Amino acid sequence: MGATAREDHFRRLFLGEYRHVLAYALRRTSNLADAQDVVADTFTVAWRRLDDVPPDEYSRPWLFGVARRSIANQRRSQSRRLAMRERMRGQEPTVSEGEEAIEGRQRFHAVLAALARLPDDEQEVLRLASWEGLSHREIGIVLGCSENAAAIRLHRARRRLEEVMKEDLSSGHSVDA
Amino acid sequence: MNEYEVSELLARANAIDVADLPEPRESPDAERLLASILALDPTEPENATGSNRRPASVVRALPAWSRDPKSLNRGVVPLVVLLLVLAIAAVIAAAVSIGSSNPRPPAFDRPAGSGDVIPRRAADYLNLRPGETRKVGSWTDSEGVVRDLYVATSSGLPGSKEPRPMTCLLFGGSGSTGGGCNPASDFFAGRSLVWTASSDDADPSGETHAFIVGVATPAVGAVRVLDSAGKTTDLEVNRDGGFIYEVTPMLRSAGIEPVRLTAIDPEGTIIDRVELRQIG
Repeated sequence: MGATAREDHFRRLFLGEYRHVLAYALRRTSNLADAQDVVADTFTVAWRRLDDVPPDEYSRPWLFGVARRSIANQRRSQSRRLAMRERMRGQEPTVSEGEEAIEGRQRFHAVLAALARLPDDEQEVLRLASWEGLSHREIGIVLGCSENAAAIRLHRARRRLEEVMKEDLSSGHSVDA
Repeated sequence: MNEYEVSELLARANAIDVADLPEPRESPDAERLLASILALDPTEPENATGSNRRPASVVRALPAWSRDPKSLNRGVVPLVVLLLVLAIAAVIAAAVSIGSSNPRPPAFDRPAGSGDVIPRRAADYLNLRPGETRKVGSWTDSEGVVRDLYVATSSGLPGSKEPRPMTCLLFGGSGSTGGGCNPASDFFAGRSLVWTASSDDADPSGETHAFIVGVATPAVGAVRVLDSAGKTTDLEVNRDGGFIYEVTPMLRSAGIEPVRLTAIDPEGTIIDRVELRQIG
């Protein structure tokens, strides 16, 4: 691939996927600066390894996989649970709201708190499916496993999340938000 | 509530909607990032962390020794770097520029004061121009040692075959002074800050303090340091643009070193960043 073609290819990739990678990072980091660092790392790796980036719809999960490793490096000394709490705090309403909205927010807090109690790998597979909307095959690309393995992991994680939610509800587990 | 209802609830708990984020063509941060990455040489070998994040434009702006600080010990580029060992310690330095268009340190925009004078011995050795030295910062480190950072312009460094004006960062303390220089005509090399990594590794006491010191342009409000343990520290930039980051012996013995500097403007926008190599 010539230098100009390479640049054009990368530019298309960047312009098409920038917001998705930023959203991926924002959903997993506690502030914009950290998310921007992850985006920078991810696209720099993509630039260097442009020949390894899968074509078309599979480029996004490939980028998510790179972003995932960048976040892991960034967060080695940080508590993932703390980040989740920060995100939940960010969702606190600043204006009065109706009972229905409060109930919805409490339910979101409950599911996010339950998610935060799962192992990191299970949290990630759930987020990839629920927040990034990835297919089993795409999840497999992010996590470096087969499509079948991704489907099994997702199924197990969903069951685990359900179990934790039920445990929390039955025990009156409070949400630390 | 079954597992699918829980999954649906989780999906709705997603706080970030891609549609709410700016298009990259409308985002100065994204445009800047894209330009920085396209300036990278994709064939440059990866670093130890598996990625090469330093823009090639920065690397090209640097003398060879800055890419391999150990070369200082071998005297590979005596024209650009000087190492003054005035006592038991040695300071190994490398000057690197990242981010903006200011040609000279902001401290030169104010009149010189009595505190800006560099010791005669160093000034004579470096052919420093009278009146073109400024102390841009003075800090006391964790051991109680006062560390001073100067900028100074030399008419021509000793040993240079083709002497030309150079502006230097000079960092001193504990009896030693060292630093690095860039051409005076373009001290910031079109970037936002110039930094020097310095270590006391020659100290026979075995203490291995290290520092990242530098000067930033007026556009920089803070310098963020990311260390290899993932911790970030925001450094204050003083009125002369000076900043310092100390790597204590304890951190160094644990293998924790700064790995990235990020220049941030007063509004919190990232202006530039640079990945650091091993500092000593």
